[in-house]
Amino acid sequence: MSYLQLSNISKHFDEYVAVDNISLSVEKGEFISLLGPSGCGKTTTLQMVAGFLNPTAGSIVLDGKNITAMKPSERGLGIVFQKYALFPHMTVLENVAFGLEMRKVGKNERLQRAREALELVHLGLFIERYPRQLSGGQQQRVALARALVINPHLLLLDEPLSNLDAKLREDMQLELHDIQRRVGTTTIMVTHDQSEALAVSDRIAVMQSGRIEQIDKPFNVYEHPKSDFVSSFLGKTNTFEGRVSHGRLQVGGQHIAVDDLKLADSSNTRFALRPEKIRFCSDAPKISGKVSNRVFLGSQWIYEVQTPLGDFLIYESNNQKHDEIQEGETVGLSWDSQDMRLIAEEPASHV
Amino acid sequence: MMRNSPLALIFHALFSIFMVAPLVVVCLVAFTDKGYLSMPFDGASFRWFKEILERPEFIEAFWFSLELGVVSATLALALAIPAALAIGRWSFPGRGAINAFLLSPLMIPHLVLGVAFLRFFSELNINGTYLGLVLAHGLMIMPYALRLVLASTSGIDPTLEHAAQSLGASNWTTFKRITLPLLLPGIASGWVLAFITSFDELTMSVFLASPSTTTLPVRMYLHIEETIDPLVASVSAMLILMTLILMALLDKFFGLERLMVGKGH
Repeated sequence: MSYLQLSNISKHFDEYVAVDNISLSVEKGEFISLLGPSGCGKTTTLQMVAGFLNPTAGSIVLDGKNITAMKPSERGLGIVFQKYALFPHMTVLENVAFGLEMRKVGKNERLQRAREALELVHLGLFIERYPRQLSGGQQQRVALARALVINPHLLLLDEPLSNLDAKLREDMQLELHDIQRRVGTTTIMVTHDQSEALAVSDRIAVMQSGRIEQIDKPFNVYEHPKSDFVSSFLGKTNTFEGRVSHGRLQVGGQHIAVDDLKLADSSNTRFALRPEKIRFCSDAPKISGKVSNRVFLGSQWIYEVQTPLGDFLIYESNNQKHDEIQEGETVGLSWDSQDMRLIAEEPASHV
Repeated sequence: MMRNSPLALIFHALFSIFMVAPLVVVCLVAFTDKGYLSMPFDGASFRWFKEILERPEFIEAFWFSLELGVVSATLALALAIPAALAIGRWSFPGRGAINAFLLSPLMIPHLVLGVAFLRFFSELNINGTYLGLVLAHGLMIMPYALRLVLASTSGIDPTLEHAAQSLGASNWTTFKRITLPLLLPGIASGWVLAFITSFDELTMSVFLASPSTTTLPVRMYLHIEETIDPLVASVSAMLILMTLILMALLDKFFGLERLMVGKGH
């Protein structure tokens, strides 16, 4: 059995179903992200694991123990809250030592361990300060040290980086990843930020409307999305529909060879194609189109190209001297057929 | 930083003078050497301050008022803190009604409260007793304490309590170590305001006091009824002095702004 097992968990608030019969297995030492838009039930799920909400149905088993009805104070979990939730009337050191004090650890030992935890997050010099004297990123790291110092069975992160500015967020992503690897604590993170989830997780559970749509490694979730929702929520994607016959895709009067996909003939097939898989080419392009817009982002260019298949978004990394492609120019586009992903239809979206 | 216009400065100056002037006049009058209320410009003395020492009933009344204020303010806080936590942090049916009910003593004239308590306490046979005064004062000043504690409950992020619980703190420990310290500015300012209101109260206390339970305002009122001499001015001056000393001490040890405004910096 897995280290943490959520079995058929549901949470209803009166008529509203926030979490709808989800099951999730987490292995020891794993870093799992619950990813989804607001209102998808990810935070409610985390609150049930933490014990702040009781599930309407289902069970939560941690390390062989059923904790479904246990009080939050008895679960022994480390939690990092979105707004840090540091105790404003205590110093950084007192904040971090609080959990050890509750565990009746002797004064010298708990101060020693709190100092070590603060050094782990590179805040060894700030121990006598009050939380309000620290920047947002520093406060977040104190919160992380406070959660880790108790050697929690499970580390729960509730949108831990969403209150930080973009530059700091990227640094903290790397640091969070590094710290979790070093400490090895089993971790569940809730986030709505796909790049955050891709960067730090071992597996990502993409959630929508109280259900888990797909759970897999970041690379697989990105490269092989199981639904339209997953493919559009993780990164940008170009989608188009066409008719397949005799190994060729017919769309908007164009014929595109798709032999290597070995598709059965069908009248209405939907494809997704990531912007970074498309390249400009002058001989034998799959389609051609007109550049309607381009944006330079430093490491890459973003182009918008009007094609017979619809408006395409194209990412080109900034190493191929494409500076000469101007707006209004007609360009040829190509890609590998294997990069086209067949998408399962979502019945709900056609009602 | 915002600059005040000259007009605003003049207004603030006039307003401050208007507030402070009566206190200055009382303090000046206290130094007269005459037997009636007059300014001490043609003869100053400490005569009326010495007179206080000759009047043990004033000193007794002062200590009585002090004790009554401390006891009833503490009683009021003991009721106000749980009420404020319930009203400020939970929503339940009848919440608005309970809040309005607890604040209602503010809206009843003290004269009416005095008459009502007089009648009620006669039924209970505790009229003129210390217990009666404590109960009446506690009820009358409770809304002041409640308002201020209520205001500080709304400033506490509930996830702080979740954080404490997740770290292993029981509900009681969470209250003691997290909630209560964060409520402290509200509790302290609520207590001070409640104490001052009790110490100052005359209208209601006149009905409830007996010769053995006479508060300082009642004592001064009875004195003025008989004779208007500068003794009341010297007593007032002493009270003003003690208030200033108390304020200075509170500011030194706790920070007045933090206590009264609740800005914890």
